[in-house]
Amino acid sequence: MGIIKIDNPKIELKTIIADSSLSDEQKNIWYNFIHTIIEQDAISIIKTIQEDETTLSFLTENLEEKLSALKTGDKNVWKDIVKKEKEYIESK
Amino acid sequence: MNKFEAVPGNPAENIPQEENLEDKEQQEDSFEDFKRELQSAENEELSSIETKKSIASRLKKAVCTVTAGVMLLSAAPAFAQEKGQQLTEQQKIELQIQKLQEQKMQLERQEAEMRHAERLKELNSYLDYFNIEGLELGEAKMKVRCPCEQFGVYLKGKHLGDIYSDDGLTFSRRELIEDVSNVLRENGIHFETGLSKPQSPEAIDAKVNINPEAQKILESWGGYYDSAKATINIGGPNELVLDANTKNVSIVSAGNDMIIVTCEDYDGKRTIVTCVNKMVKDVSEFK
Repeated sequence: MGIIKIDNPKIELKTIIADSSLSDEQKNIWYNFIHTIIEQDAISIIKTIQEDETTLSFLTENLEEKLSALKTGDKNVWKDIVKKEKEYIESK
Repeated sequence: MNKFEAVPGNPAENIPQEENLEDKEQQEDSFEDFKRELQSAENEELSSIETKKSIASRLKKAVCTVTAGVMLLSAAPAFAQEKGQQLTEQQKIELQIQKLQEQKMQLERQEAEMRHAERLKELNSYLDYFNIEGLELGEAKMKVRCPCEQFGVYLKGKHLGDIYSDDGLTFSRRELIEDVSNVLRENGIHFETGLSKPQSPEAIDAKVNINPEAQKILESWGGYYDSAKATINIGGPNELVLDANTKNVSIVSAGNDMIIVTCEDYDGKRTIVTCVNKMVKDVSEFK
């Protein structure tokens, strides 16, 4: 992979999300999430998605599930999420 | 009210409020502990993964970023409201601000979509030139990240190829037609078009108006408008050549020895050429 030039990572990531086939609700969750992260983390996520486009749907699900787990306050749900993400990373 | 009068309201009502505040603080503390616990459980689990491939390493970092972001989001008033917690006045205001910001973003997105749809409509109207039924522009299949316009060329819904304007520029009518012509040729689709030969004067159907004073000045310079060649000879070595993108041209006098040629293109671009004594003195472009 060559050098990826990213001028404004947060806007770049927002553009990737906006251009994706995610639902409006999922896009809004991403926009709120992007608001909270630093530029370096945005770059990291952009690179992940650029290297493997399928990771966008995984990260979206991961984001939704984690938010839901925090709302319910259920530790077991969180454990399942972490288990699932571990399996997914190991499969790559 | 004098200073010895009782403060309005039942003082007993204040006690539960203070207690509520304490309860709330305790709840918040325990929620923070809960979040820390979750975060450390994840770190522990992920630390056991050996990441040999770069994608796995990136993913590991990405999921931790997601967690950190989720933790921050959970501190937002909207999250507290969704959890069914009672909001403080400040949180209510923050929530309102957030909702207004979201509405603004939504409106901006809608506006951008409308602008895009308008632009697509405008560019599609240029394709009438080909006289091919079902030929239209739509979304590009292979989107690239560039400050350019990008569209897919479709024939009766079938994608033929993508076209991209030059970086930082939008499509002019002529460029669009040239690019679409190339896509049609690549797909072996025959078409009859004068614009496929953009410099062909017969293809240029611009309306040229010369006012009598300007006509006199042009003639005094030995110049003329040649409709067959679609050129305006200004007497000297310079000729103004119209192209297929030219929609209207007006030539007016501006003094005894000066004419101004205003050229309006199909894409809205205006070019004003000032000619003085057989020479082009200035060319200005406006969009």
